[in-house]
Amino acid sequence: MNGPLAANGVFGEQFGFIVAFFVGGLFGFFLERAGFGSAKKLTADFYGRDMAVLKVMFTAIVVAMVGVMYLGIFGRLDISLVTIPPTFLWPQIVGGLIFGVGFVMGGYCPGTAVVAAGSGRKDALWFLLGILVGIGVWAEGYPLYKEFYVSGSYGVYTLSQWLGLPSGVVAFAVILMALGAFWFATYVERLMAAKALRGKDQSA
Amino acid sequence: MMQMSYQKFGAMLLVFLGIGLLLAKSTPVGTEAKGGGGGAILQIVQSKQDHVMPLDLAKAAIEGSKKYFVVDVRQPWEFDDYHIPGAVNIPLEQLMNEKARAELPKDKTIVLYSAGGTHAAQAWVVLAQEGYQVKSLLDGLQGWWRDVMTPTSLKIGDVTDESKDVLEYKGAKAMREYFQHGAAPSGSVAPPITTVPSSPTLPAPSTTSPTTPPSAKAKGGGC
Repeated sequence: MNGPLAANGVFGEQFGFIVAFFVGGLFGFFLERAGFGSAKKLTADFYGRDMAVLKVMFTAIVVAMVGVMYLGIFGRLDISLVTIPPTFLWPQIVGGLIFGVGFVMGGYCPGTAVVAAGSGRKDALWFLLGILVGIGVWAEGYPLYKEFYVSGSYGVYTLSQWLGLPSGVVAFAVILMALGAFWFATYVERLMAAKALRGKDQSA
Repeated sequence: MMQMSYQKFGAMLLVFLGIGLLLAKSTPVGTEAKGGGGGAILQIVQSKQDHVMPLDLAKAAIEGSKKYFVVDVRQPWEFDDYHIPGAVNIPLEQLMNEKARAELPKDKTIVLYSAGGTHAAQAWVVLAQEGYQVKSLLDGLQGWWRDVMTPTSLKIGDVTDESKDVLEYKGAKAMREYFQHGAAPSGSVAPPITTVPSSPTLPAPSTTSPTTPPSAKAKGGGC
C-alpha cells in the first residue's frame, strides 16, 4: 500500500470524505485537549507568556517533514504526487500579515476557531461568522486585486530549489531551526514569567 | 525534571533523523520536484495531463475562460492563414530561445498546438522540463478541425471516444457554429460550408471576453 492513498486509488473520493471526517475529528480533539480551543492560550503566544502554539506547530511541521521524507526514501510515498501549493510571493506575504493580525485580534486561527466553536465557545462562533463575511467580501472585491493575486508567481518552488541544496540538507537545517526556536521560546517564556513576578512584587 | 528529559530525547531523535536525511542519497523533494526531471514528465504523460482535448479548449474559449494561454508554434504565414481564435503565434524555433520563453505566463496553462502534433510535442517537452504548466492540443489543428470545425453530418464514425465523453454530439455542432460565425478565419483550410443556422444555446462571441469569476479556493493551511 503506497501513498498518497487517495491519489493512488487505494480508496475513492467518497471513502476519502469518511477518512477526512475521522482525521479531522481527531485533529480537533487533540487541539482541544492541548488547550488550543482557548483564545487566551492561543494569544498568549504573541505576548511571550506561553509559546505552546509555536512549539506545537513547529513540531508538527518537522515531524511531518521527517515522516514524509523517510517514506519517500523507502519508496512508500510518491512525493511527486503530493500537492505542493504554488508560490505567489507578494500576495502570500501580505496574506500572511493579514492572517497574523487577524489571529492576534480575533484570538483564533481558522482551524482552532472551528475547534473552539465545536466546544461551544461563543467568541469562536463570532470569529467563524467573521470568516464567512470576509470570504464574501474578498470574493466580491476580487476584480480590484486580481492582478496582485497572481503576482510574484514562482510556480511550485521549494526551499531546496531556491537554495540549490539537496532536500536532505534543507531538512536538517529546518530541524536545527526548530530546535533553536524551541529553545528561544522557552527562554522568552522564562523572561516573561520573571517579569510578571517582578511586577507583582512592586504592586504588593 | 522528567519532562525535561522527554524534550531532550525528542530533540536528539530529531537531530538523529535529520542526520539520516542529510546522508540519504535520494533527494525526493526539490531537485526532482514537479515538472523537474524525466520521471515527473513521464508521470504527466501517463496521467494524460500533457494534452487538452480540442472540445475542452473550444469550450473554454466560448466561456471566455482565461485559464489557457494558447500558443500556435507554426510559421507566421500559416498562422495568418488560419489560427484558433485567441491564439498567439510563437514559432517553434523562437520557443527554443530561452529569452522568448521567459515571457510566457507562469500562472496560466499554456496550450501548444501545431498542424499535427509533433512540433507542439517537441515544444511541450522543453517547457514541461522548465516547470511551466503546459499542455498540447491533442492532434493539433487536425484535431481541432476534426472535433470542433467539421460539420456534424460529416463526422460519422470519426468522433474519438475521448471527445464523446467531453460533450454531446449536439454540443459539438453548436460549438462549430460558434467558431464559424464568431472569430471567422480567413480560412483556405476551412471546408466549404453553406449557411448554418445560428445556435440559440450559445452566447454570441464578443470581442471583449467576460471576466472570469474568482476561484476562491482555500488550500492547505496549518492550523
